[in-house]
Amino acid sequence: MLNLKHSFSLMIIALASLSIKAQDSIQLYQKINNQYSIERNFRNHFYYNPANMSDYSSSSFSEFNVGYHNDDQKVYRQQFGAGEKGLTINAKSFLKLNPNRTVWGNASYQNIKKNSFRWNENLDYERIAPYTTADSLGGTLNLERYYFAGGMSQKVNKWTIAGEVSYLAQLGYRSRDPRLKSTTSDLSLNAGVNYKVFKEYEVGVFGTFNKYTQNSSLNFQSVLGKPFVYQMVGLGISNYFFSGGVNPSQTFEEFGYKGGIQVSNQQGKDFYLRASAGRSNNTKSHRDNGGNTTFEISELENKNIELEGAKFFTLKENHRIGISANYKAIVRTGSEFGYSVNTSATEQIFKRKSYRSENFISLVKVLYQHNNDNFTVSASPFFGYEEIKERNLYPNSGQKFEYSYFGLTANYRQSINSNQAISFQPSFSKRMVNKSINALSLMENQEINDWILHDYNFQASDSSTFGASLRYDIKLEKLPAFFVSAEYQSQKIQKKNNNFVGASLGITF
Amino acid sequence: MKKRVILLSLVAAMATGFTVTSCSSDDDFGVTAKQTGVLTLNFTGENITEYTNLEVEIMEINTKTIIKETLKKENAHTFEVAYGSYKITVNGVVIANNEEVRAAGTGQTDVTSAVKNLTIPLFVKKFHEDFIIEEVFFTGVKTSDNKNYNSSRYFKITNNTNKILFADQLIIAQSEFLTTDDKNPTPYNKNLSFAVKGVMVLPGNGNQYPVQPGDFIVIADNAINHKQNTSTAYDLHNADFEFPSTNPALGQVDNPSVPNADIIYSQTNFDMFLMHNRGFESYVIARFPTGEDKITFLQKFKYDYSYQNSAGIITPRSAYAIPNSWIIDAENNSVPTKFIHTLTAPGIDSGWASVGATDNDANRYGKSVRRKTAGTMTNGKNLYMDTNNSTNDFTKDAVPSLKDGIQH
Repeated sequence: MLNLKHSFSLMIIALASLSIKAQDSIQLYQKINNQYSIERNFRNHFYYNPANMSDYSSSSFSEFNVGYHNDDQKVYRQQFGAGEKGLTINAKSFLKLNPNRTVWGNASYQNIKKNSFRWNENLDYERIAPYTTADSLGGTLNLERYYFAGGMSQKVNKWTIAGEVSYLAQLGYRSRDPRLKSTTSDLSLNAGVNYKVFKEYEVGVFGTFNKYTQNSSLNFQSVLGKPFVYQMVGLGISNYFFSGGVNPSQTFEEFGYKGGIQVSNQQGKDFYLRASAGRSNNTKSHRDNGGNTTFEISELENKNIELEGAKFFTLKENHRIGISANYKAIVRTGSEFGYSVNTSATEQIFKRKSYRSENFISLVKVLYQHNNDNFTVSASPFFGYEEIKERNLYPNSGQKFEYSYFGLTANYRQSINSNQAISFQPSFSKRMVNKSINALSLMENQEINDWILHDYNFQASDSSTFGASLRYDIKLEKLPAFFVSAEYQSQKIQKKNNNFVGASLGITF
Repeated sequence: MKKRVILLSLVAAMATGFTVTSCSSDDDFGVTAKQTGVLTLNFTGENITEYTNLEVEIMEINTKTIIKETLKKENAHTFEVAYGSYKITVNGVVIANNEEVRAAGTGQTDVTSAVKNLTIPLFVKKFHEDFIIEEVFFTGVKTSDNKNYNSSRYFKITNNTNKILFADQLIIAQSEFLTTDDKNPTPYNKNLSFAVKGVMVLPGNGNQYPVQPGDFIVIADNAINHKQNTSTAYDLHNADFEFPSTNPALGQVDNPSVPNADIIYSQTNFDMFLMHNRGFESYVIARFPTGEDKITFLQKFKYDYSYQNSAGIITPRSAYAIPNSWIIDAENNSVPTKFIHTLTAPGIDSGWASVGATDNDANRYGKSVRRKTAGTMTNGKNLYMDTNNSTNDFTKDAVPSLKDGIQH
């Protein structure tokens, strides 16, 4: 972890030194308007293809900020916990080195204390679920996150070639029983190639390779007893043979890839169509201190496809309208490995698919933006539909949810004078449960049943979220521009409010 | 026009590509989900002419799927089961030698193909006109300030007959293996003997320690008033026998007024008889048959076996084994979240009792396994249930009967 800290410091210095070059003398409001473009944010998926980053912005910019957030949840899914609080340091930079060459980078560090959670003794729950390790006790968790990313794109005649590397490392630990220690590493290599077929029409292909590892272990120091540690296989069902143990540890190894194609005009500012498909395989290995053999106990296959199209119009010069439609399907199939207790060695005797989750999401977004020399105002309503289906065999168990979403995000940015600007962004969204089906099997353990039913009820509950953020930017002479921002969000679910507050202080170049 | 053709072609290509991707995904769980086989159980047994009523319990070890079925007058039955590793217990009533008697059997098999046949031998349960294990208190207690107190555990052994019994030379032994783990040792036959890692023998020359019908003896790890050490422990100063540890680290002081059990075999340093406080062990009580004693036992009943350890290495071990014919009662213990198999011949005990809901349950302290009562003897004492099936005969998580001291 020391090396990570050194690397992180070097990255910050490198980004900061590069960023100095990015300063220019344009009016602060215009610079902020470009740096935090609402329209660009609206089509953020488009930039998943790194070859599109060439035209991310016509000018360079950088940001360094320090932020603190507190997410205090009253009603929550127990495996995720009652929120978190912590510090974030983030540096990012986008540099247009010349009209054909662009580089970008991002480095961040987070030091977070996750509020109490239980039935989850791993990091990245959603990535590895249902094959998590769980106990009824849980607790808070200290978590450090280090993230680095960097990319470069180069235009050569009609071609644009780009590559990006990102790495996320996490360290989670708890100093009370159950003493969880979990580390993760997540390396992604992303590449894209665009070809200009006609005027500004481009076609592109892009792909990602991803390697993920998680090592989690549990220790207990109390001699008086410890919670039973379950190796979960979905919906509260656990593997009987590998559950329990003295100091269980697990390794999750995942290899994934994703490929996609796209068609666009005017760097996505007129329209774009993109489609991608990906697949990953996550294998869980289990070991207990009592024995020195590692057993592969489950495998989770993830297949996903995503389709997105967006079209933008300009009306009377200052009015921009955008519409985008996105469809995403994620299907995860889990296989359990079975072992024999009737043979002299513990031998694997079966591998069978026994868990499946399906998640289908459709989302339509509209953007209206009015630009003026001194202010920008925008409104972006969205409508979504989502279906989540989760099933388990051995024993049969399942649940299904159908949701409708709608919401609106507005943004108002005002230039105060040539060196000051203010931005205000209120938002509202609502999740409505159209249908929920409880076909859950009850387990022997009442605590597990309570958890699974609680989790079902959470997912079967309507919720509404409103929030707002306010940001003030100021540029003082001979100094980089400073900003301060504050954010508040409140989610109402089951007649209670989950509140999020955040504030950050930073500089922009 | 040309650009539209190009664009439309690209969109069509994308749509085709993704339609193919979507269709190629598995439907539901895919074919590997259909991993089921037909398991046929055949029951046999010496002199059994009718399998009147058999309760079959089939447990898959990976999923803890339990199939229970009551069979009436069937000596074979077919079950459709998922692939897996199975432990099977059969308890019931059969007619053997023209007499309706209790019988039990156990079996184990892996189902990894469409058809699997397994023969389960049933054994007629033998009941002795002798002592029974009434209660085992193996968990111990926590002190009032929540620390472990490594003493005040006991066996309570009761005369469940209507005649006077003598406790002299009674054998109390603990299992070599655990009910929560199957090492698949070689050789191993629980239908012949019970492998032990600790054996103690009560003193006496044959008629020194009489026990009246319905009365009991207490064999405590340390026969002292443990309440003087911690208020949560029990007063066992008037136990009948004790087996204090000689390990100075445990600080147990021999009570000279209470006779000590003779620990004739132990695998621990200091020759201790330490009870598994999470309840993974089985216990038996036995009597030396004529011509056998502690010396001949140690000479003749050594049990050498080997098993494959988790690293794949064949590991030789030595223990002792008590012939089943010596055993007068037995009691298996396990934990609901860890149980794999019973360690006794099914004719001796075909079930198991437990303390605690899960392994290492902090709530297990101060609880015991205690036999249920089946009525009252003519002298007013409790008559205890004894079907050689601890699952039915014992109360799990029981309140220790000596909580308030030993009162006969």
